[in-house]
Amino acid sequence: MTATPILQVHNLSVAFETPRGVVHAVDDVSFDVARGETLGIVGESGCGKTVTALSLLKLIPQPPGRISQESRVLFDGVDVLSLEGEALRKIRGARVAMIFQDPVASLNPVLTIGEQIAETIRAHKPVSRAEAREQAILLLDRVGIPDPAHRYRSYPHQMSGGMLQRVMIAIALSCTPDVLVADEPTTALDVTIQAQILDLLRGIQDEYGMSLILITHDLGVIAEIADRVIVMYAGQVVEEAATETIFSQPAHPYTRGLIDSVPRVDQPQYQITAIPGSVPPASNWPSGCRFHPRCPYAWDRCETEPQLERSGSSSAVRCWLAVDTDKATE
Amino acid sequence: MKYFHWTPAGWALLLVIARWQKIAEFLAGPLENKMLALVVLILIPVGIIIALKVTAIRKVESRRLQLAITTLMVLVGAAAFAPILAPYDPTHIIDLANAQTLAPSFAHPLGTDEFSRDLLSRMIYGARISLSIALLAITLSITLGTTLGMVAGLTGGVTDSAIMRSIDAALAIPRIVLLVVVLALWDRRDMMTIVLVLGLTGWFETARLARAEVLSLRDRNFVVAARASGVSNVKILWRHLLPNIAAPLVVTATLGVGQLILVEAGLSYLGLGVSVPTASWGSIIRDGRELLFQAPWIVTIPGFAIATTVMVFSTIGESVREALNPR
Amino acid sequence: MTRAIVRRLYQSVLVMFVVATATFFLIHLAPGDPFTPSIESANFSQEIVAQQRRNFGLDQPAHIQYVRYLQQIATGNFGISFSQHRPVLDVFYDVIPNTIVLAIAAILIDFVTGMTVGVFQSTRKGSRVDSLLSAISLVLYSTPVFWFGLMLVLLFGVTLRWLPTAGAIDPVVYHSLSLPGQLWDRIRHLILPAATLGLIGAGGTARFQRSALLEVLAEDFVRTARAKGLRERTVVTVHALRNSLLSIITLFGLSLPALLSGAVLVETVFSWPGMGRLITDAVSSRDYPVITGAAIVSALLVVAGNLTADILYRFADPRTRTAQ
Repeated sequence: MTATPILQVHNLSVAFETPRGVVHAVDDVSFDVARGETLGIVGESGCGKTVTALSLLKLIPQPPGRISQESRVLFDGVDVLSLEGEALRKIRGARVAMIFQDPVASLNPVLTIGEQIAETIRAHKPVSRAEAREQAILLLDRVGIPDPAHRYRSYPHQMSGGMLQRVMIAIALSCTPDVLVADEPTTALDVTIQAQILDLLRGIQDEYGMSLILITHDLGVIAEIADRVIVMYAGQVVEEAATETIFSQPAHPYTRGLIDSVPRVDQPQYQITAIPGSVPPASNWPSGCRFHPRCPYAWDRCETEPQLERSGSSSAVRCWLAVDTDKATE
Repeated sequence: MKYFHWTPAGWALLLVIARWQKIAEFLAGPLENKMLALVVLILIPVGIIIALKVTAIRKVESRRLQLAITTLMVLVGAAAFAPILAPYDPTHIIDLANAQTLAPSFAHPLGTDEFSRDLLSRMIYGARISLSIALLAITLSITLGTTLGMVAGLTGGVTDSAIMRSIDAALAIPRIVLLVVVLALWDRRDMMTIVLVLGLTGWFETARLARAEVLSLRDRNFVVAARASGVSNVKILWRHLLPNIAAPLVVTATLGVGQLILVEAGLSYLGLGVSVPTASWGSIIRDGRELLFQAPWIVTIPGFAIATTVMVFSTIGESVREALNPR
Repeated sequence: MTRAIVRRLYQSVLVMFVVATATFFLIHLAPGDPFTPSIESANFSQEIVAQQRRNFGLDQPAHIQYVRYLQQIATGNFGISFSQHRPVLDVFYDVIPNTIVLAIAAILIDFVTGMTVGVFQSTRKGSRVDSLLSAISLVLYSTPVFWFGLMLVLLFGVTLRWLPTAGAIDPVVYHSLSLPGQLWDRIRHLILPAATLGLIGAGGTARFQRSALLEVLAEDFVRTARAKGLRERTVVTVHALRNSLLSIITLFGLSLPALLSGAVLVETVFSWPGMGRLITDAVSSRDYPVITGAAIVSALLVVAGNLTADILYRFADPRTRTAQ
């Protein structure tokens, strides 16, 4: 791809100051998102996915959060992290929109869903109340909410989680953003609803031609929707590759572990294997390769920290094994 | 030993040397004074250790707390050792014919009241009255509130509704009005009466809290398991529930002491506190209000003492709460 | 919704019934009965005492007394004041408006100041101004209300001589004043007592508002509002403040008894001719019908206030308003 990416993240590091000391939630994360592309970010909970997503719109509360000086989030060439006030506000919701994991908590319980869509429109476009209302009703219709004119006046507690996530998508769409960041959009929903929401996301992405950053712990979702995948572990990117490559030739043992731990309906003879242990707390990352205490292939070299090695335009991996196999094939 | 400081220790030693005569009098004096002092001497380090332990575990920002605890220790120490510390007899009227208010001076650091009684001595003895009333009354009301609240929560049904509706009613009457209604019936106003009345009218909110906590614990597995294995209600209360609700009760109690000091001061100001000549801080203000212009120090000083004490208890209570549930 | 209100109404009546019953038992727990002449009431004739006894039916058996007592209370008959020799209800008519004026003025000062300061603080959490204001509100929260009143008297009444420090009107000139002049006279007399009561309450309100707003500001939907690109002012006022208002309504209901307690003390300090002043005067003259009546009436004020707060809450929160 030769066109400049719509979003470029360079060396993003985020730390939080807590009573128990500084927690490095995200450590030197870099990636690009091309126009119209769907990028999946995958990893277990606690590995820094959500903090990464929030940093894209500078939504990390500071303090206690701290985004390092070297971090850059270039949206259309402009560093979002250096923006303040009005300039930042004009990107949030208008050019880059977000939807969150828990739609029930993410909507204000004392405002009607219509008001919450309309206020977004009015925050960015010079339209009258009535026009904003009309547009909001169209949006509700577009995201598949039956009887939108009536639902405009509903409060969040009167609707199901799946419907509320549709409302969140309608809010995100209200200013036709260039990038939509979806942080675990289906995790809190029933399995049948999950598929509907993913279909909806895919549909609107085709229709509006926007980029989608989909953050999830669910590889099934990734396989279904993403063009390219970033695997995160313990605040770092450990692997990056095209979706087919990730599933056919996972390079990092962690990626392999994630894939092996997904039950496969099509291949019932497959043995499911869980990754032993769990993600270490962010206040206390292991030294060396952060995955090595849980890694079945760990060897003495893993005591020192491997770098994220690029191979080709869209692949990268952070593992001594991969470095050596590369060298062996050379 | 991190919290042992040489400076206050030195001051204490100087004090002992300077007032050895009073100390000798104190030791020869009434037994109850000595018992009180002994209890306080034991309580002070215990209190400090508990508070520091709690905050050390959760790493609460503790500078304010340390200041509060230090102030509290000074207050409690002053109250317990009043006979040693007070420069004069708080009730002694020097010369009735020449009685007059004296402004703060070297002889009377806080001045005197209209009967030439030394205000500093009255304040020190007043600390005794105010603190003991508040501490005794809170003990009574926390005990009563916890017991009734837990009984209500555990038994449910008619007992529960009866207790809870009574509490609703009692809380509807403003505290001061309720106290006035009760106290107006009594002719005697010694310390025990006041403690009793304050304690008996102060347990309602504690009972609500205890009941709510019990209700949230009642259906937890460990209680269900205990009940299934035939453990009696009383035992469940004592062995399983009480330890679990102790923490919020400690917080309520600490904050409650501050409120009680305010209420007691208010009652004394209305003339319904402990009867004269024993002065509490509130009644010193009452005595001084007619002389607000001529001798403003009489009213001003006890107010600062009350506010400081209440602040101390609020700070300690809130620090403990913060330490027990961080956000 | 309507059913919930009816249920609360029924509960309020029940509470008042329990209050009346408790007052009855208090009277009967008293050593002797409240109409036993004591030193203070010895100057009243035996006839009045006997009449009081008959009025409360103290010559009847306990259960009949109880029923009669409830009937009397329900019809607003609290007996006859010992000290003023007229029905307690008439006495109340004179003083209750003054207390309500004082209470409303104090509530306004309390909540307007407290909420403003609390909101200001939570938008600047951790700053130096925040700590300073926190310290001030802690001091106010811990200060005895009557002492604060005396300090204001000392400062504004005695030293600066700006404002009157006693009564609700100036008895010397009031009746010769024009209507606006009379109003101004009343306002001048109201300032110090209302400020005393209101500012002491504002300390607590500010602390409460600060923590309530901070709690709401940490909610997910506030993050959504920011992610939508709303102005920070809109985020705080429309999204956060509106939600924290719900807890403020609850606080309003809960703080009423404390406010009336404070009013008793403040009215004493400023000789404000209201309920509180009446109660303290009644204590010194052992005017028992006035004392019990005042307890019931103040409970009624509290219950009515709580009911208002509850209904307000139900209207302010769509979750209860539109629940099926």
